[in-house]
Amino acid sequence: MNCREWEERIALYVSDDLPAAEISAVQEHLGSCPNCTAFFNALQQDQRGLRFAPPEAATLDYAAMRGRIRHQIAGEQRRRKLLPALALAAAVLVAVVIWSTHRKEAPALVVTKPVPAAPSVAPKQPVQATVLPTVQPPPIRRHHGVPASQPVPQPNPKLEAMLREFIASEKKPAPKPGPASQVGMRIPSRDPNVVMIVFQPTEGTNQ
Amino acid sequence: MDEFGNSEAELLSLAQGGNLDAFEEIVKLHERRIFALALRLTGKSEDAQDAAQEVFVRLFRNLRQIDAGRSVGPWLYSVTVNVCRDLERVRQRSRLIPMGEKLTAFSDPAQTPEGLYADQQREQWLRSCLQELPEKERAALTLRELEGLSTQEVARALGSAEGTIRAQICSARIKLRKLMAERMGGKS
Repeated sequence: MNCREWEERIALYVSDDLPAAEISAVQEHLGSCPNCTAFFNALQQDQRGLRFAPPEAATLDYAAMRGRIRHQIAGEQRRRKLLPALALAAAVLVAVVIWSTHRKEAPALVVTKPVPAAPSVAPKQPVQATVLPTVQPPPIRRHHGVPASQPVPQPNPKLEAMLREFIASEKKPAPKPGPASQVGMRIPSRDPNVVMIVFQPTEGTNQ
Repeated sequence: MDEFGNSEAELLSLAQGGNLDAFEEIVKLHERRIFALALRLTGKSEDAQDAAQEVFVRLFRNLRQIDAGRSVGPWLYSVTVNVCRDLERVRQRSRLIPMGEKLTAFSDPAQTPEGLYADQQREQWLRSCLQELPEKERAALTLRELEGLSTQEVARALGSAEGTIRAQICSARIKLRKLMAERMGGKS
């Protein structure tokens, strides 16, 4: 066995990891081989160097390091306390987004404003409904348990006549000629006997 | 034991209950060893400080998972090795290879300037040679020598088989010796 082959055993011997049965053989070889003895001494020297803590370990500002650790932990604890509030805020935000998206599905109701041509102080005018735009209602959302084949209500001719009469009664001539304005809107519902009419009064203002 | 006579188990139990002073006492008990280990593993003081800080923050996060009846030491060693390994991977990605930095002198007033210089030089070589060892071998050898752990304890800390650790330590010693001999120009 040459010196190179002894290296491993000598390294294990330095580590106290050499099997007891081989210790005497290594010790005997070290007594007779100057190269391996030099190698063994050098390994021990390295071992001493490794056992010493590096010099900075004696001079480091540990209080400052503890301060940084404290600071980091405090930050984490703050974040942990804020987490439920942030989760709640996120949930509310999601709910608002879902709600606003749902609202956008319904058609927007647009009522045009009258174009003012008269002086700013105009006499009081009655509400004028000329053309009633019809806006389609949003699609029916059926709840669970309501059959899709529910009977569709039929229009009541008597109610229709009363509605026409009411609209006609509101179509009185204006005291002074004014611009034609679209101030009302008819919103039918699913039930033909229920009609919603929205009037926008133009009582002497330009608005 | 801390300065008030509390054992580490008592401190750990208090810290697990949310006592920050007790946690800080645990940090005081281990900070030097963990910093020294991190310095041997990373080779740079700044990296070692970052690593030690991260190790103790992780200790705080995982306090409840640690058995109060056991020493925190092995857990800390294991985490230190992992943190330093992660740090080294980041450094390698950014191509920042640690070179021997200026060392602080040993505070031995009796030491001659020549002796002081020789110690510093040797420490510098040792540090740079350690960085050239394979990661696992460096960790095994450092835990064995600096922390004085047995091969079995090193194996437990690193989660490896005892035979593997024995081979790694042996290989690390031989490689380190050859690297040191090259640095020292044949002087040993």
